[in-house]
Amino acid sequence: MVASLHLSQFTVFEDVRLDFAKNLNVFLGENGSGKTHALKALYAVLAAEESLVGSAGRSLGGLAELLRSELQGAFRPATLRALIRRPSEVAQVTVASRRAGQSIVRIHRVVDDLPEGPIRDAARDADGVYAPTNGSGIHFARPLYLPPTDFAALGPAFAALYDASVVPFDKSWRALAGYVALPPLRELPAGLAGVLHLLEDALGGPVQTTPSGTLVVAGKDGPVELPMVSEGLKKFAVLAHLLKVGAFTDTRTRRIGDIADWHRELARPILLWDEPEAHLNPRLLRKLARVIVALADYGTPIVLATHSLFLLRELHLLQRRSDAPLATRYFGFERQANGSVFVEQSDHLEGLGPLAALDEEVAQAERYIDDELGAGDALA
Amino acid sequence: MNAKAVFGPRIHVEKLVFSVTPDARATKFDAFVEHSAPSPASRTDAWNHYRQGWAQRADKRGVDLLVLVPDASGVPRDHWFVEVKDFRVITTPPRPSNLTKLGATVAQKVLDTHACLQDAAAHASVPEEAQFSQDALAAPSTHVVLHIETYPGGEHSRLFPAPAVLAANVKGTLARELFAFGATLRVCLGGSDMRGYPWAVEDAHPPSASG
Repeated sequence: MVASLHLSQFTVFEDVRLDFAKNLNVFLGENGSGKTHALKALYAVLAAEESLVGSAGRSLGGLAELLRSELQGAFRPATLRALIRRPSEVAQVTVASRRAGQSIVRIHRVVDDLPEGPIRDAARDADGVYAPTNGSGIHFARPLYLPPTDFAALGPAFAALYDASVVPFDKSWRALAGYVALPPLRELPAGLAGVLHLLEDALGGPVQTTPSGTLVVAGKDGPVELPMVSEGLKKFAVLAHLLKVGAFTDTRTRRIGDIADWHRELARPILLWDEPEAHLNPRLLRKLARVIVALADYGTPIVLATHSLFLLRELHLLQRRSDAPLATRYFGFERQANGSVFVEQSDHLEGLGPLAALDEEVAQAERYIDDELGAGDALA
Repeated sequence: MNAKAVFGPRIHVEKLVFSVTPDARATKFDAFVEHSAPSPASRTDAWNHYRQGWAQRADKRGVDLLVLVPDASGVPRDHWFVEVKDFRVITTPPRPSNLTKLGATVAQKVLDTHACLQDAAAHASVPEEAQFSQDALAAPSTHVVLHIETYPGGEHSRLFPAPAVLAANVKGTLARELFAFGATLRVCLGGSDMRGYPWAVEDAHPPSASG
């Protein structure tokens, strides 16, 4: 599991280190406070690590290239130098794992100032280093990044479009669409079968793949193709399919059998979920909260960014009577006067400062009550 | 100005009367009563130590009510800070509800009251106040209760806060302010089930009597 993400002079972050809990991590903050940037930076580094270490025989020296590609794919800046916080010269992203070491990527602005020629050609806008603490041969799982708008439902067609054309879509979406074409596992781990049941119960039937590669929900009135399914339920259907094809499972380490727990942890994909509440009615949000807790219970490390007070409350209610509550950490992202973002961290939601979702609910209630009482201006 | 601080089984706070269980001790700490509000004179039955010294030093306000419950052997066990917010009290002109500041206001009252108790435990000139302070500070469990009498009209609105939602939201802001205080927090709605509280609440002036 990832232990920390350190962002230095990177986009909106001056110098911020996020220390993660083992199970569930929740990013909170207003729009534009950098939550998605942090998720994407984490994704880019983990995806690069997986490509590097997951494939046998790859040189560790190749990390910089992979990171450059993943950062470019995740943020889609005109040049990587656009990710450096002005007026700094170097941005740095460091991801440390609990047992496997750390990866560091640096992006340099100075390349811009070099004259055209061999020196500039030789200079790199990014370099990176992977420093393992436990020797080589460690297998990392590919992280899963779920954006607010779902693209996986487009499946093979989206993958083909992305591969053939220059399109302004995140590389993580392409990775997600890649899962749609995969066949289902013969056997789902016991812990995930329960999660799948929750999802299929909400959908009214199982998710299946047609011979043409399209996902359908096989409800009691017959199969419904995914484009015909509502946006909210589509999210559940894609998640069900991801479970079935093994996106949350590490099949390679499962086969090895006798494997150290920490190694198994590293091989378990981390789920990075941006606004999971998007498109969902509270009735489905309640089910979503159960899915999140069940996935975390299974051992999937989760980092999610949310604006939903309702979802936070559901997560709290599900865990308050639990014998083994999830290790949870909350992160409050807040813009400072100088434009940089400060991140407060606590194992308790109450330990954070302002929580816009809650404060605005109270402020709205205040406007209503004052209007009822004839005091104050409700529209102020 | 020479009224004594009130200790007893029935305590008036604004329009309400709190009746504590027989084993509990209750005292009005800094509460207005409805018939004399908003005159400062209505504070004369607040704690002497608070009124004579503490409240004069700075912009300090205490909670309305303190309740102390002993265990079976008589040793102090639970200490309750109780604050009342009665949205039914309507002034002319109407006062803003200040709901957004309610959590922070109550939290500050609790912290100021706690500080006053620490001072009073050693220096209160009224023996009852000194004894109550010592017992309250010795109680192993501390609770903070915000008792809300809901605002008029709220029950008719489908869109706007059902009282329970209001209570949950206010509790959220209060919990943030008192995160480090180490007390259990409750927001209690008037008319709700009072099991679990060592007191009962009733209206001091039932609507039928006041017309």
